[in-house]
Amino acid sequence: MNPHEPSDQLSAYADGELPAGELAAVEAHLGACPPCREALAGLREVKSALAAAPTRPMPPALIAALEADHARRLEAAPRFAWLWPRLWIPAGALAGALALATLWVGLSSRLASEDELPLEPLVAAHSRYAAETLVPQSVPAASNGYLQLAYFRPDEP
Amino acid sequence: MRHDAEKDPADAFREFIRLHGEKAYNFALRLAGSDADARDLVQEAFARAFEHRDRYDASRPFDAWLCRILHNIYLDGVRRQEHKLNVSLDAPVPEDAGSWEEAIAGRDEDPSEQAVRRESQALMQRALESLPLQYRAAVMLCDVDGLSYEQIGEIMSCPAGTVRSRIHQGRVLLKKAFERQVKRGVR
Repeated sequence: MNPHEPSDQLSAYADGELPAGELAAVEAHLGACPPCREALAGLREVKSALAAAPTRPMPPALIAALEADHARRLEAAPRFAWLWPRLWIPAGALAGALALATLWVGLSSRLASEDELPLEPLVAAHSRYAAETLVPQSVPAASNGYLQLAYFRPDEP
Repeated sequence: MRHDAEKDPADAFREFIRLHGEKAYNFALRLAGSDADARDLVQEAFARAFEHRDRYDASRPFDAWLCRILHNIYLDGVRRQEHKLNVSLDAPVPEDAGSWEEAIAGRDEDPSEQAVRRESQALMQRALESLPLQYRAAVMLCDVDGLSYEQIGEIMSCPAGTVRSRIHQGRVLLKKAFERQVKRGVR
């Protein structure tokens, strides 16, 4: 670190974003360099001044405009989207089910004999069903038309 | 981000605005510098968010995604106009640039303290508006919105190292611009 020129390390230090590998060196330098300590103090003043800046509430007219825009968007959205049932399935459970189905296929292929029922077609059909039917879809929410990630089966009520 | 499908659509969206609108509006205000432009930015951002909702990663904070959209819209506008948003330090404070001037007064402040604070905030705002966009946005996202370098990088589509550099340079320039205004006694 150049002691004669405040570097972005000082800002990163003030923000708590300095990587561990740089932290010790910067702290050691600050301990021995009054100009850099002064520069750091100046950066912290700017940071504090901005952090203290008040926020402004949303103007009521803007809220009304956003609501009107949204109502128009919902009117224009495809009608059938509202009829899609949604079945929320945790992604982990789905992944687990697929993994188990895959494992089952592998075990079945090893244990199958002439006297055993042919499981492969059943497992394959289940895997196809899970992969093709229980799929992640980004669909507009039925009620607010917004940002919803859902797993669904179209044939379920 | 999920919403109860059984809620009234208008109520659900109103709640959505309550959760995310103010942060978006204030970020737009600091980017654009005027209330009218900020409103246009926010309306456009909400429209784009709805249009591209399938691209939203629900595991990430929605505010950051919306800020990224706002930032991109503003950047596109600046590029189209082929100029940077610069405010002359000698120009009078615009009437509608008072987002910080109109701050709610502290309960314990006397009128003279309030006046000094408002003036200081106005000078800081003008100094902020004089910064080039990449520095202004980086500093605001860090110091006003409290985002991490990684989050800022996602919004501004640049690496964390670039964010760090822009934040530092932005603060240095901001401090100099503010001090110049104070010395000149600009009002």
